[in-house]
Amino acid sequence: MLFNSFSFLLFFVIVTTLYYIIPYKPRLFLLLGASCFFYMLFVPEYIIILFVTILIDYIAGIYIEKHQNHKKKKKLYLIISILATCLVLFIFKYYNFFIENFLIASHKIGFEPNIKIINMILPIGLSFHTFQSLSYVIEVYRGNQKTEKNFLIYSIYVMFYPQLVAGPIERPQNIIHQFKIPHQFNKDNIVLGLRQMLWGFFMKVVIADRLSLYVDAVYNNPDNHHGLSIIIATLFFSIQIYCDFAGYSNIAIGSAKVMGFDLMKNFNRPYFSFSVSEFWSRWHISLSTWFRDYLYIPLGGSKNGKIHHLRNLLITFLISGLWHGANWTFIVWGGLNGLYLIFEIILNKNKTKNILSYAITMSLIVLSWLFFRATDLSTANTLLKNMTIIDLNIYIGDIHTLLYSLLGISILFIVEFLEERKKISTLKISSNAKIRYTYYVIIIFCILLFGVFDESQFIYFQF
Amino acid sequence: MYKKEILLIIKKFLMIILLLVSLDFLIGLGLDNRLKKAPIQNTYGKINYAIDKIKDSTIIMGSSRALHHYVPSLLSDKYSTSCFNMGFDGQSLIFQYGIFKLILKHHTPKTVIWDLFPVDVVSYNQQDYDKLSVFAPYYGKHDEIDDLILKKGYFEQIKLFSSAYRYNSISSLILLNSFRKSDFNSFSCGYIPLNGKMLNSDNKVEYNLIKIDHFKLNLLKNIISICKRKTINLIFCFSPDYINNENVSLNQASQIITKIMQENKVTYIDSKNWNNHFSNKNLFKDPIHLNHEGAEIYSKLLYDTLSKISK
Repeated sequence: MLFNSFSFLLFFVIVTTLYYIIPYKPRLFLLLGASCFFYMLFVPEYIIILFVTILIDYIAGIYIEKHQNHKKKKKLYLIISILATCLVLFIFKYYNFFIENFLIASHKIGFEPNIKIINMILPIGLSFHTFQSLSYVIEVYRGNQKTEKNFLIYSIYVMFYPQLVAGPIERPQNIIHQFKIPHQFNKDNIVLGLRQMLWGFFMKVVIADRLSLYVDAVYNNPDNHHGLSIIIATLFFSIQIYCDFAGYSNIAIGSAKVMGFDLMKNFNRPYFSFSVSEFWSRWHISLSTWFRDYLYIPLGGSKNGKIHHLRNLLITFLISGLWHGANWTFIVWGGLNGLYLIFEIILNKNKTKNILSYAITMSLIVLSWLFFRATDLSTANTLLKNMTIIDLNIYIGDIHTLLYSLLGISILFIVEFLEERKKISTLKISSNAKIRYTYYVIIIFCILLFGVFDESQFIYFQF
Repeated sequence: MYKKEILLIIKKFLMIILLLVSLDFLIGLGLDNRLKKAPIQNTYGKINYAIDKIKDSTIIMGSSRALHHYVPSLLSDKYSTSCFNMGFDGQSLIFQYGIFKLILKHHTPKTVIWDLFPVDVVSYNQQDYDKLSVFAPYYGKHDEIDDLILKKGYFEQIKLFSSAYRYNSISSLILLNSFRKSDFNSFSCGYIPLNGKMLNSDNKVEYNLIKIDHFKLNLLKNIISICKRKTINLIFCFSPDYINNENVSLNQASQIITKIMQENKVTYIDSKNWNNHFSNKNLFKDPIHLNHEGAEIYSKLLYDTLSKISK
């Protein structure tokens, strides 16, 4: 069930209504049941795998706390939990990638092992709830979080449906206690939550899905496009990925807010950044802080000298790239961003704020997105080569798709500019009812008139 | 206290709904008005033509292969009557059936030439249902297509309550085109010639028949039975393609369609029998579409074949 579907809206209305009707204790069962239902709509059998990992981490948490004074035993349970969780992630997400590359490397040295690739569907939200589980056991190990002995609450923590598919990746300190509060019906929460969901839908269906029509047309036919067409497609992809991801986050945060839960902010207008380091403090905040706290800092962070600092940065970004997908393009994307940060630190350029620094930052970020979107390194190479060919024929595709895209981007820019520069929060909008209602009407009709709801849009798109 | 808050929320919600419904109605009214003025060269102009204007004795039905393969002026000589090409780019048999029903509401043609690409008819493809959104602006106005539109998905009936949703992704198309005049002279009775030749000599096209679409096959049988009932001369055609690779799915689909034709004793003309005429790739724009030169040759050959059949 996708967030941008009518069935999700129906599901959300039913769950939220029941949530406020029934008493507190049964609510927890409702949340767990709803989350299980949500998860099982993708591949029902995978719920067993999810519950096994939940059980392992739940038990590990108990034993870690029980042996707080026995460093070795405590560490052992942590390692078991991390290995078990990561093993599931590795099998479903990275096994085939690892085997394919192993076979290529083996072939080059004349060795042909008999290992087969396994055809399997990736469980939905695997990368997200895996990291959320790891966050819990690590915080318990560090003594920052008390073990959650209530299995029901712990299960909801891992598979809370608003954040199950695409985050934000929550910390146990932020969310677990919220499941213990019997949230009362609160008008402000309802209004703010719905408003955030509305904005999320707009970002996703009006901007992201609309831009993908143009981006796919260019990126799926790299040999047939040159120069400005590729640059425009890459620029569009930069906005597409932001609106796709941030849109989903807004829907997740908004739907949780309606029920009284406060999830962490995941995006903070990243395309208003003047440096790559600033960009990474605004982009996918829940993931970048996760990597900071659980990989970068344990590696040593910025301590132990500059070489180690830069090395730790690079490792963190390479692994972050790999987290996004099992493909060399993601690793290159992550590595590029790591290198950008390294050069910024070396040149001490991360504090400059002017048009030049903005232009350079955005150019570097947009260039890195080319690798993120390309299906493989060969395609990325073709796109880079073709990008340098001067071609005055810009690919237009369907003019109406471009019109709707530009309209959506304009609205996005106006809203984010107001938030960034004028400090006006569109989520809190105005006390003036006319302004509020005008905003709702514009956004809703943009969704109805310009949103992409199915694959039929391709008929309006001439290749 | 909560009761008061809940009532306040409901009151505000109802006010917003009222505002939205009113604006939605006005938007729908405005766009409905412009839809009627769509020029014939435009998809919606052609649908409007099918709904209330078409009076041609011979109608060509089908997808893009019908649209680009059948030259009405060459075929109309055969029957000494007018001929119109009602082919539509990228549309499946479901859509074509809807158009057919819209035409039959006010006009019974003498002859219908229906182009089929077997694998498209036999194979299930969700896009065929998604593309029924082209009919969305007409929802609620024509019973013939209302049921078809709802095949798109479970919640379509609820979504289509909104007039704005019915014009999703086409509002600017409708608005801008409604100020253009219909140009019948250059329109060639619905036929759109394809110019250019196949550049890539790779004529391998892959098709995968994963799931049979029984709904479409039933529609095909419905077409046959309607034509029999209304004594319409129905001729199915499998027009030429330039696919050289052996494809199990293509063969399987052809067998299924041919069996239906035989069981129902329907005239069908398979251009595979004319391979010597269409072995030249210069007659094709791409592996499944003839260019204008190829279309003219094909239309003349079809004319000759139909002449022989009628003798």
